[in-house]
Amino acid sequence: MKRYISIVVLIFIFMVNLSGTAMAHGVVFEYHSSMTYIITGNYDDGTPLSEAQVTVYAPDDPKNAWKTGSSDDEGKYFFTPDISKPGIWTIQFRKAGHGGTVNIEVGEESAVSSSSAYSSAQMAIMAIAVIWGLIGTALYFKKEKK
Amino acid sequence: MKRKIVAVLLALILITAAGCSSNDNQAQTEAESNSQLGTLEFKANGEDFVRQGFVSKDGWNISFDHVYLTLSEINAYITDPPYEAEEHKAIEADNMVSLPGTFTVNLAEGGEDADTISVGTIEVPAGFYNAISWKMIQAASGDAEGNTILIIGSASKDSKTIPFRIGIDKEYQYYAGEYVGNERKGIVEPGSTADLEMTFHFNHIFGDADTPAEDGLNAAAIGFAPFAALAQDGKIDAVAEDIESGFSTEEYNKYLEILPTLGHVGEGHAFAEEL
Repeated sequence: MKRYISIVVLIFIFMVNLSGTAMAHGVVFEYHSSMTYIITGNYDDGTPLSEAQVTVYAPDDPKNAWKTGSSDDEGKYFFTPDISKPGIWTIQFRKAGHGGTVNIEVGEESAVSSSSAYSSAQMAIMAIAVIWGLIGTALYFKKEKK
Repeated sequence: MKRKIVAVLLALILITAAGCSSNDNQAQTEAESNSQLGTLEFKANGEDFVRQGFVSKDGWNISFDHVYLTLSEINAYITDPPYEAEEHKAIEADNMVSLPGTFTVNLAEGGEDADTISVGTIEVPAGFYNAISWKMIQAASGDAEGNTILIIGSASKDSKTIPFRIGIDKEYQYYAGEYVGNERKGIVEPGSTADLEMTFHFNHIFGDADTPAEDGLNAAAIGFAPFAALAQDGKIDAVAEDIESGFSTEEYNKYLEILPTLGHVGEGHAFAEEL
């Protein structure tokens, strides 16, 4: 029986609440940004995975649950990650013997990929190419002086 | 001027060499870190349905004496991005460890409160093993010879009890992502033991009286009645051929659709291919 759960990230909301700081009447404002994912769990026949047990694991502590909760009547769970913890966040839905996992990558993807994009050999070749360019430039100016 | 140029070039070469050396040291450190070993234990679990028995969707009270199952080519993986069985494809990963051998296990072993069945352990580099694959194949010898699964037990309904011996010969390759359950499995730390579980949901075949009749699980299950109809002289002794010839076409097709869905990781789905 194909009885797995399709967990679909329906909407990705990036909410930015902005306000300024004002001195009048002693009112102080702060602003912050947060992102919230609405994750919807459905059985493969489309029935919502309502009131399912939800467990969230953060990338910096994969062994222990970062948060637990439950989905609503429509199988929705609102997930707001701590954006100071970049990496893959794992959200598991479980209900009466059925379950599934959704993985969401949060933040600093570009920084992570750029740090591992080149091997040592590739870096050495690039360095030699740069040095060769400098030699050529130096020789060009030296020739001009003569 | 020429000396200055040479000096600048030498400085650049030294800086580059230092950079490469630093990267190599970093790579070496990572390799050393990864080479720290822990233990990974592979387990097989028929859950309480097998250990304690259950009532099928059509009211048969089923209990199991033996549930033999033969497993082979058991592999664990560190996958990035994490493997998702819903994509219906094989696992691709650079980091794979294997439990060598073929194992016939009895999921009903040990009684109602028995621990999950241990299949085997291996030493592995530390890491988060977040995917698993295994084959379920026919036993080459022993009580279960010729069967991938051999179920022995009894079923009761309306003061009637039928002992049964049901053989299944279909072979499957299973691929699954991380375990879904009460705890997170597969996180091997240096010097410690973690486990991964191959879980088998036998309520998918017989259905479950504790689950609503309209639930997808019961809609797909065939119940126990088609097996009861195979009984001769008050008992069921049915191998694969008997089931194929004894079931109606509709029952048999439904049965064939259910079999590959037995394999799970906890409550998580596995992708199955018939071998």
